[in-house]
Amino acid sequence: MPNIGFWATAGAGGAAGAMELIATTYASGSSQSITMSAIPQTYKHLQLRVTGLITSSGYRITAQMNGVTTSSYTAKYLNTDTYNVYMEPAGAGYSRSQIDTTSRNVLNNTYPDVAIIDINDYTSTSKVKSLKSFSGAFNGFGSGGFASVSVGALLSTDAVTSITISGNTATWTSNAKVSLYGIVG
Amino acid sequence: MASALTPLANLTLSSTPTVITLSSISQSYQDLVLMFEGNNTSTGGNYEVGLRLSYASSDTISMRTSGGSYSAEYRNGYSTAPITRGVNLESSADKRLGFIAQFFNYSNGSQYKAGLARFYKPTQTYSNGGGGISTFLFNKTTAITTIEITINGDAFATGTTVALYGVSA
Repeated sequence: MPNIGFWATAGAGGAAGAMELIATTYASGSSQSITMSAIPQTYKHLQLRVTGLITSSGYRITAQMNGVTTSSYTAKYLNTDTYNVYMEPAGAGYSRSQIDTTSRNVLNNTYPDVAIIDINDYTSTSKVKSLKSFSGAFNGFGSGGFASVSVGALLSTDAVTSITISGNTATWTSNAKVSLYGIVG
Repeated sequence: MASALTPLANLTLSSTPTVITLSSISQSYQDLVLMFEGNNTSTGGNYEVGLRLSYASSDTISMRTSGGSYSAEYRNGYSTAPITRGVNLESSADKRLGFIAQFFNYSNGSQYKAGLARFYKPTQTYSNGGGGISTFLFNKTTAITTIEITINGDAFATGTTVALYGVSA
C-alpha cells in the first residue's frame, strides 16, 4: 500500500522506518506551552502528534525549535476554508511556525485541534530545519471546520534538541498533549 | 524500543461487502491510523466512500474536505463523513482510491473525537483522479469502538485492502 506522509511501517521495532515513542507530555497548571526537550539524537526523523485545547478561544497551534523565539521562521500554507482551497503567500520573519493555519483562530476548550508534524533530518548540522504539518480544527458543530497543510522552517542548521508547542499566548487545558515519536533511519 | 505502531487489523477483501466494519477495537492506544485502498464492483462508476464511527442513528460527523476540484466542502449533521469527497471509488484496477485516516484520542471518554485524512487516486487520465485533505469531528465524547467504511450505492471490490493500527502514547 502506498505510504503518503505516514512514515512507519507496522511492527518491526527498531527496523528502518519504524516509529518509536519518545515521550508524551500533557499540559499542566496554567501552562501556555508544552516543551519536548533533551530529544535523543538517535533517530532519522521526528513526528509529533498534537491535541490542542485551550481555556479560552481563539489562537492557533504554533511550534518553535531549540528555544528560538526571534524572527527566524518562514511559512507557507495550504488551507481549506469555507468553500475554497487556497495557498497563502510564503512569508518570513516570524517568531514561531504556524501549525494550524486558517485565519479562523479556532483553538478552543471543547473541540480539539489536531495536528501531525514531521521534522526530517533533525540531527543534521548542515540542513535548515523544516516543519511539515497537517492539521484540522473546528469551531464546533455547524460552524465550520478547517484542514491545513503547512511547511515552515527555522533558518538554522543546528540539530533539533527541543520543540515547544503552544497556542501562541493561550493557556492549554490539562487535556492538551503532545506525543513525540522517533522514526528509525 | 518497541514500535509505537501496533497492527490491529489487516484485511484483503475476498467478498464484495457494502460496509467494511472494524469492531471491538482495542482501547489500549492513544490514536488510530486507518489505511484503505480499493475499488468498487460496478463498471466505471463514481461512488462515494464514507466513514461512520461507533454508529448509531443519532450520531453525526462534521467534516471539511478539500474535495476533488478546486473547492472545499463542509458538511455537518451527516451520519457518514465522505472524507474523500470529490475523489470517489471506481472499478478500474488502475484507479484505486486510497486514504489514510488518523483518529486522535479515540479511547478518551470525555472529548469530542477529531481526525484527519489524506486521500488520493492516481489515474492514467485527468478525469476523476487527484487527492486532497480532510478533517472531521465526531459529535460524541465516548470512545470509538467501531469504525465502518461505507460506499454509497455499490459494493467494495475483492482485493480492496484495509489496515488499522494503534498508536501508543
